[in-house]
Amino acid sequence: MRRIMPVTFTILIGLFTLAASCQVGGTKEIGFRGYAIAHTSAMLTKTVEADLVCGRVTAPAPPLCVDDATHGKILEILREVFVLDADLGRLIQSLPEGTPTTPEVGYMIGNVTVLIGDAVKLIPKSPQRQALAEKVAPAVK
Amino acid sequence: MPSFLTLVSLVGPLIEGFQKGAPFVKDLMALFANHDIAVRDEAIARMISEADSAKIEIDAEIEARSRRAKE
Repeated sequence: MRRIMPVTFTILIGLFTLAASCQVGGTKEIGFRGYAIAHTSAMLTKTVEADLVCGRVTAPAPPLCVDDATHGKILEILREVFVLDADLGRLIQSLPEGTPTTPEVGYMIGNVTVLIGDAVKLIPKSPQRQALAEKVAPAVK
Repeated sequence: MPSFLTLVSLVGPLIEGFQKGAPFVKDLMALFANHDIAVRDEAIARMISEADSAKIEIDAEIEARSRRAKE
């Protein structure tokens, strides 16, 4: 009996939370989820790529590490990614509660995803790149 | 701590409340929804700040690289 009580209570709380997020979260919630995935992918790409730069203790030996010239190109792409990332967050923040997500949000999420894919493509093929690609850019082989 | 029977006896009125849109159910739902919104808005603000910091960090590295290249 003592075990069933907290379970019942948890189920009731879960029901309320689910009903509440369905009712009030609305379409802004959908934009937020896409943004959260895009942002997490951008942060992960930045961290993993930095670890793979030749000469760093975490980097594999050449030719699997990211050479200096490639790192420079990836930095330029990631800079663009984070400008878009912050703009996207501000756009979602500005949407009034309960309003539909604008097509611009979807367009910006798409751009961030494409740019992350471009950055991952520049990393030499290695188990680390494979693991990163599986998480952030499954289309990149 | 309410007894198990008390909790079980709440389920019926709650389901009925959902169906009829009783004020106390609406209040409870609004309470949970407002909490969700606050958590989400906090997450958006944190992500914007992380993106801004990442951009500043990358700008500094690009700048340092171009300075090194000129030397």
